[in-house]
Amino acid sequence: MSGLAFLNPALLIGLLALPVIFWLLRTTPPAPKRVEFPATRILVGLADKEKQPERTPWWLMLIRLLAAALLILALAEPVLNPVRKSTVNGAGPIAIVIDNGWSGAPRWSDLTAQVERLIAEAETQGRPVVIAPTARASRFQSLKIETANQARSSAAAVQPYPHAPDRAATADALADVLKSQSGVSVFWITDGIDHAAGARTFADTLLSFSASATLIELGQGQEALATVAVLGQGGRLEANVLRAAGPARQGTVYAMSQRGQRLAEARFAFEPGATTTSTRIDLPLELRNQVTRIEIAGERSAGAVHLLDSRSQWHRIGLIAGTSRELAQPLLAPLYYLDRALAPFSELAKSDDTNLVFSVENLIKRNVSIIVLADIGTIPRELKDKLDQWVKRGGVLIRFAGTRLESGGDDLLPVTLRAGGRQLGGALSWSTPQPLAAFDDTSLFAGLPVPAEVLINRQVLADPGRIGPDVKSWARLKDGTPLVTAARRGEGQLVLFHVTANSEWSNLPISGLFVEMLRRIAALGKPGGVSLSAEAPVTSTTEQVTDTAEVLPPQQNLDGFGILKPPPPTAQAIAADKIADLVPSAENPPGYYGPQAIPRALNLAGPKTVLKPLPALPVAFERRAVDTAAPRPMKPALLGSALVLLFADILATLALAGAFLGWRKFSSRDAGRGAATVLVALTGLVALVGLSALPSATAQAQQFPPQGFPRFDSQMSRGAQTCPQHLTRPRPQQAIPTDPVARSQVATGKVTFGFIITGDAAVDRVSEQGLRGLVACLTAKTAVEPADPAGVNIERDEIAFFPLLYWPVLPTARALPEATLAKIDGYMKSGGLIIFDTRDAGTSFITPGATSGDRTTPLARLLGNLDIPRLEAVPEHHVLTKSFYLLRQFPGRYDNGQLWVEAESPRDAERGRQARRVDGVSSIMVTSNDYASAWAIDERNAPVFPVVPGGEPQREQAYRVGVNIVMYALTGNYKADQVHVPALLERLGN
Amino acid sequence: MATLLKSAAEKSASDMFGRESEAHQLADRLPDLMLDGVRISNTVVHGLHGRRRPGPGETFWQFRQYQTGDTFQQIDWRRSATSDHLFIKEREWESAHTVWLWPDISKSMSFRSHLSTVYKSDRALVLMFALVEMLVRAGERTALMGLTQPSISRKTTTRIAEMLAANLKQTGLTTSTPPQQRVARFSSVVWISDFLDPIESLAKRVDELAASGSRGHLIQVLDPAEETLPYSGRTEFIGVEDGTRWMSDRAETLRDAYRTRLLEHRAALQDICRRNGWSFILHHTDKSAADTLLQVTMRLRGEPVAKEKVEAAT
Repeated sequence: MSGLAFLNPALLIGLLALPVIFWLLRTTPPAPKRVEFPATRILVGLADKEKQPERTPWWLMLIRLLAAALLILALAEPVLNPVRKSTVNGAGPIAIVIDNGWSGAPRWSDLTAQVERLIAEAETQGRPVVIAPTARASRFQSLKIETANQARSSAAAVQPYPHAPDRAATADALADVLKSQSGVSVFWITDGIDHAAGARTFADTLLSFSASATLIELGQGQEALATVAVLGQGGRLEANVLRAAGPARQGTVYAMSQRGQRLAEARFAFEPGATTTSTRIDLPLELRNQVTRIEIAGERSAGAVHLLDSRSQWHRIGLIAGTSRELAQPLLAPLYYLDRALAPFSELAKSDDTNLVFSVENLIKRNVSIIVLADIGTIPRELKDKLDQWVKRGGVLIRFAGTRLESGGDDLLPVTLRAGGRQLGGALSWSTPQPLAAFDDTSLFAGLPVPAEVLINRQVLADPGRIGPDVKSWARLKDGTPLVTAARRGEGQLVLFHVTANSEWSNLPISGLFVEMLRRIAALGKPGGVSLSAEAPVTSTTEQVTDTAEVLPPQQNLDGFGILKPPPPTAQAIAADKIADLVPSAENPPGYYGPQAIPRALNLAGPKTVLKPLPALPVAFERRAVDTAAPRPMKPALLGSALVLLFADILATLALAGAFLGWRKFSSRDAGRGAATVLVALTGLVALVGLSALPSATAQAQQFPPQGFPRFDSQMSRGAQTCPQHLTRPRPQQAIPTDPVARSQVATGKVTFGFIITGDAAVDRVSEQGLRGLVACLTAKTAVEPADPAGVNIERDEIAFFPLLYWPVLPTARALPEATLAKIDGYMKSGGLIIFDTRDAGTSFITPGATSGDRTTPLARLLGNLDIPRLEAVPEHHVLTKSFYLLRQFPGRYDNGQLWVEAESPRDAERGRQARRVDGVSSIMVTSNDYASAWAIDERNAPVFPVVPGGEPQREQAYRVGVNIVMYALTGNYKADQVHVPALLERLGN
Repeated sequence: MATLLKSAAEKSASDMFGRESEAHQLADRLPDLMLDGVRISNTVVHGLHGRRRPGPGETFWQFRQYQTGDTFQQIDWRRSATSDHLFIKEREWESAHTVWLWPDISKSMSFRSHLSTVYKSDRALVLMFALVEMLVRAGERTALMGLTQPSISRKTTTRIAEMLAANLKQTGLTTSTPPQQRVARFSSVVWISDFLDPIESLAKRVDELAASGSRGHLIQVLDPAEETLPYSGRTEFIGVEDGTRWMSDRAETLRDAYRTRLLEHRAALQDICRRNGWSFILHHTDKSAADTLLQVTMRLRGEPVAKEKVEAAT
């Protein structure tokens, strides 16, 4: 409940001063207007007719009085929702009883806040405290009388439990502790539910040792809700929502899948005073079977969650056929249509065993609820007994006729069959294929539409003389012959389709009706399956029958807030036969029990659960509602409004003095001063606003990077445009992340070229600038739009992402470790291309024909142990010369070096550890022309280094070389194939 | 309400010439009225007023017999030929009239209320310049009291404006009463002011001027606010010239008493004028200057102003 209290109520006397202020304001005249008036001389001596002073306008008075009143109120420090002063007197301990069962969980923060308040109150009164939660994890409860401070930590340790509170035990424990005390005040923070009808007794016990007792209840409409999921009509999922009492209330129920997806929502609404309501969750069967959890939205408690186990889920159906034609002719296989019809809403279990006995046993072990036998004529006696037993325990046996059954059935059929079938509409028959008759109202299939095109050509016939009264004909032919018969046996059913499960005898299996029929029959299956051993579920995945699973260990349990968690240490196993009627307790909290694959759910609320409100309590109980609102001091708000009013008063006074009538009319000093005041105030406001807006303004200013200026220089006019100058602005440089995953994402997001980080900062910088220039050129001139180049630490980084690696070879290069060499080898063999650039115009580069034994050159040292293939200078008609531009030479910064590529290897025998030419692309290029320096551009897209000796045309050539290399790396020998296009066309023309 | 107190002394010279040109425009609008005046009074040709006795002039007055001492040139031979005597044609003595003007541009005239668009002093100057211009065109001699000598020059208006602009700082100009100046008999005095000074001092000065035998015209220029006292609420009135202050808590209640006093003051003024045979014209700055100018010209011409007009003005 909200309230208002004043911390300094004495100051409210100041309100008495308001009339005085009123009088003062009335008598104090406002400042006069001053008028220069030439005829003043005539005025002098004229007396006013009315002597009383000019009155302040009533609204100005109101503003001032209001401001004064607010000021006084603010000084009195009012507090909204104050901490309620105790009305209970007493000197003894304060006992705080909290209902921390599941029903307290939804409003747990309110309850704990209430406890906190009570403890604070006890602290101010210097009284000891007993915290007594009514729900516990353990059976026994020991309570202590503590100081308020200790009680605070005890109270913090109290958590809601996922079961109903045990108030009787708490009452006993409390009585033990408090019997000897006097002046005890008891506060019972209740959830408002009469659990196990013990509330009245509990209240009486509390009163027996306390001087005063207070019941603190939840507010109207805050009562705890519980939900129960039930299977309604036709296997539909319905959620019942329960509560003890309360006004009209609405809410939503969610159906959640095991993975926490919200599969469906349903609204529910309570009539005023109603304690139960129901809502239907409409879901297709396929989805409905995935629902594992029904919960009430926004209601965080174990009671508001209903767990569904496999018993309410789909059925496991075992399929066995007499013949195994699946492989040869799937469309004629007896199980093909069954498979298709049943798979969407059930789990199918098939036995691979050709031995029928083993197959059936296997299926029963796998806990199927339905077994379909297609065209199985004779069942061995031993198996027949087992199946019979299984059916009597609740299994559903569906059999399909066939040639084998035609020759005579067994007693696992609903009807006795006549020997020999019935052929309709054959060459030697007068009769015609029969359609189906409409389904009877009593039939399981009642209501299904009968398609006219379904025709039965052949069937097995029931012996009409021996059709017992328990045999039901679910479907008949037009002439009345039963087509689907069923009989109950024990808890189970025997169902016989008088036709085959394939389209041999009829076209029923290929009609939609077949699916619907099977769907209805499948719903007959016993939830959770049927097993021959007791009622213990068995694991299906391990194929291991846990016959001795008499005890269900806890798997996962709900905590008080309805969250599934590993079982608490106090959770105990449940005897399998008792779980159905068990009420969750501290030992058996709600949750999943049993084997992991097919656990059983234990829920707080069952179909028969009723939540009862608290009965009439002894009148000695004072009742009050939980304080939900926190104290809110109102002083700042009041002071603020007073300030606003005073400011309004200033403005109004200025307005009255004529300050706002027009700036031109300022002639008197006072009006000028008023204007100055307004100006200062306005300036202040503007400054404030401006200051607050300032950081954002500067932030905005920083968002615009300085624009690079396109270079217009003599090179442009010479016609030899170099690539990067097509760009008007440098692209923002993205930092290549160092994290391997992020790096790979960046590198694979776009075509990315790598350069080897040599460790020499200057060289690395040139490499990056060079590749950047090449990227800019490619972007401007070709369809390749690569990302920014990435530096690669050859020993550490993954290089598989880069189609092209640029490797500047330092004179100081040293041999690489074996692992790195292996990586490079793998890279080259999987299609990568590495450009080794010695950057020395050929001075140190010895013809690569020299073998690897020569360790004098840096390149040889670097690649000493890598068997680089035999290289050759780019031959005349190499793809590199025409992959994009037509080139004759391959100049870089220098033009006197050669570009070496992998030579055509004439002998396969030479391929050992050699990098192969994958897809005809050389995996290595060696040059000394320093391409990177020729390509390099700085931030303003200006070339960094001069090229010698050719000047800018040579730079353009260098870019062309780069483009050709990239095209070569990316497209392989595609261009080489292009050479053959005329020949191919010619051949096609012929 | 608040007025911009700008003393006449601070008026710039260009302001003065602005007034002059404004007055020219005003005067230009009035020639028809002048012609009408000519037609009504045949005795006067433009500006030259017949003295009803022979003398230098152009209008025929009488024939008289030749007497000894008359010059031969004076003989009208045509008339003499009809009889035996020699006749001399005498013309009426015509002389230009002198009009002395005094516009009040003291502090109290530098007032403009929210009801009006012009300052009283501006209006006074406009009236004066228009009058001068008209009189000059009519061939009368005009002079600014204490500053210029009577002149019939076409440039008189400009000269007066120049003199005013040059002597704005002189204390003589910023008083509301005209300076001590001998005014010839038969000349006219036009005194434009708000006449809000004590009635005794006004009466004294008017009597002095009238004592020389001149005719006079008082033009009272008032702001409409001075007529109606359109102020309300707590107001402090500040006298412009002597700094008198008068505080009123409810200015609107003073209106009737103030009006009575103002009318009394004006009645006293009119009484003075009547006693001295002078005329009194009331002008409000929210009205057109032409109306008042017309009245003044008519008075100068000696024509009576319609009775009801006077009534309406008061």
